[in-house]
Amino acid sequence: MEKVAIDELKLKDLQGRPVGLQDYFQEYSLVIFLRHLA
Amino acid sequence: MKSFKDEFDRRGVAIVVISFAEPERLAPYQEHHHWPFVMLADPKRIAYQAFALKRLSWFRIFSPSTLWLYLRLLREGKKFQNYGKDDYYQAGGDFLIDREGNILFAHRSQDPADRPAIEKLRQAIDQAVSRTSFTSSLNEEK
Repeated sequence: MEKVAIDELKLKDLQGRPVGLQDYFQEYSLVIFLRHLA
Repeated sequence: MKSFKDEFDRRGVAIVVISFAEPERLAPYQEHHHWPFVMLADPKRIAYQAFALKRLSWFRIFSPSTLWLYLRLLREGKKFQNYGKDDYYQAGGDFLIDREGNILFAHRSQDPADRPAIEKLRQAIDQAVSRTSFTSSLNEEK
């Protein structure tokens, strides 16, 4: 099974603050990566 | 996807949308669309790389299915919104992951129109939930 170190993913919220994916987890997370904004 | 949010919430699945756009470009996009999901920015594409999302070829971007998708969206009255600099070659994708980062379902888009069917996502969630229930019951028996 593929595994990703989610605590190492440095992301930003819409205000530009640093956040982690784990901050938004429930039991699972469906992560959708956008291709572009349209 | 908006209409499935409640169902996903009930089943313990948070939906998080990630874009490589800078937060200052993503904020007006969210203001316009009002997506009921968390939207996060990954301008350095660290997460895109971690999930092995590659760049698409020119042939993939202008595939018949992509052109058909855009034609359909135009017919439905969708208007092109300009949010500034874009990258049409970046592939997107959909992933179901657990708290440990295990990828329980992966769909890496082969072209812009390539998205997983909602039924496939439901099946993946069903499998994940049943696996968790099974593991929990084993732990309780110990």
